[in-house]
Amino acid sequence: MNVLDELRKEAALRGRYERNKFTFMLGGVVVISLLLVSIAMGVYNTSEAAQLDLSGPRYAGVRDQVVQNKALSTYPSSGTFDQQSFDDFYKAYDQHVQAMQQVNGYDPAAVNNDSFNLIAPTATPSQ
Amino acid sequence: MKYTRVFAVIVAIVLLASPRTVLAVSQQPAPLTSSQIEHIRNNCGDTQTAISSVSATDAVAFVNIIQQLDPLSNRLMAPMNSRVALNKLDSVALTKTTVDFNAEATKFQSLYRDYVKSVNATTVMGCYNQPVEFYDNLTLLLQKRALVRASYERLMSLMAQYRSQVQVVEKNALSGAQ
Repeated sequence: MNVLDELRKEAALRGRYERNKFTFMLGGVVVISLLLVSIAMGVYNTSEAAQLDLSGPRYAGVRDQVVQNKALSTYPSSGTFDQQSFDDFYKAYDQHVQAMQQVNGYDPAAVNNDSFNLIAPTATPSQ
Repeated sequence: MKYTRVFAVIVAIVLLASPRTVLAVSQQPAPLTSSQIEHIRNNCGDTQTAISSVSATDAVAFVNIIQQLDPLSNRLMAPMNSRVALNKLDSVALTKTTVDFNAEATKFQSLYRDYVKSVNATTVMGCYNQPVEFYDNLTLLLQKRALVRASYERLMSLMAQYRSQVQVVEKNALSGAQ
C-alpha cells in the first residue's frame, strides 16, 4: 500500500514536471542570465571600464570633447644617440605634454560657490 | 559570559572596520544655522544638477588624461630609459622619475574612482530631506576633487622633470660623442 502511494506521488510529481518543463527551463535560463549579468556588471564596475565609458546619456553633451589619439609611434629602445634622435623624442613627448596641458582637468574654478549656490551670501557656516 | 565577550569583540571589530564609522569620526558635521539649512534645502536640486554637469566634464578630462599616460610611460619613457642604459649613460634619475610617474598615474586613477563614488552618492541622495548630510557629502566631494587635481598637477610636474632630465642626458651624450 505504501509502495503504491509512493509510486502515485512520484508519478504525480513527474507529471507536474513534464507539464511545466518549459516553464522550468525558462526560469532556469533567467536565473543563469541574471547571475552572469551581475558578474559582468561587477567586473565592469570594479575595473577601469566604467570610468572610461562615456556612452551614457549624461555624457551626450560632452562626448565630442574626447580627443582621439592619433597613430602613436614607439620611440626606439636601442640605437646610438645623435641630435636627431633627441629631437624625435622631444617632438613626440611634447605632443603628449601639450595634450595634457590642454585638458586642464579638475579646474577648481568649475566648482566655486557661485556654481553650486549653496551657502546664503549673508551667512557663511564655520567649518 | 564567554559568548557575550566574543559578541562584544565581533561588534567592536565590525564597528572599527566600517567605513561609516571612520567617516563619522574624521568628519565633524559643519555647524549650519537653520536659515542655511533651509537655503541648502531649497537649492540642493540645482546643486545636484550642477554636480552632474561638472562630473560629466571631469569624466571627459579623465579619458583624455588616461589616453596620454599610457603612451607616455610605455612608448616614450620606458624605451628612452632602455636606450640610455644601453648607451652606458646614467639613467638612474630617469628611471626614478618613470617609477614615480607610474605610481602617480595609478594613484590618480584610484583618486578619481573615489571621487566618482562620492559624486554618485551625492547626486542620488534625497537632499531635501537630508540637507546637512548633503552639505557634508558635498564638502567631501570637493575635497576628493581637489585631490584629483593635485595628482594631475603632480603628473604634469613629473613630466616636466623627466623632460629636463632627458636634456641633461642629451648634453652628456652629445658632448661625449664629440
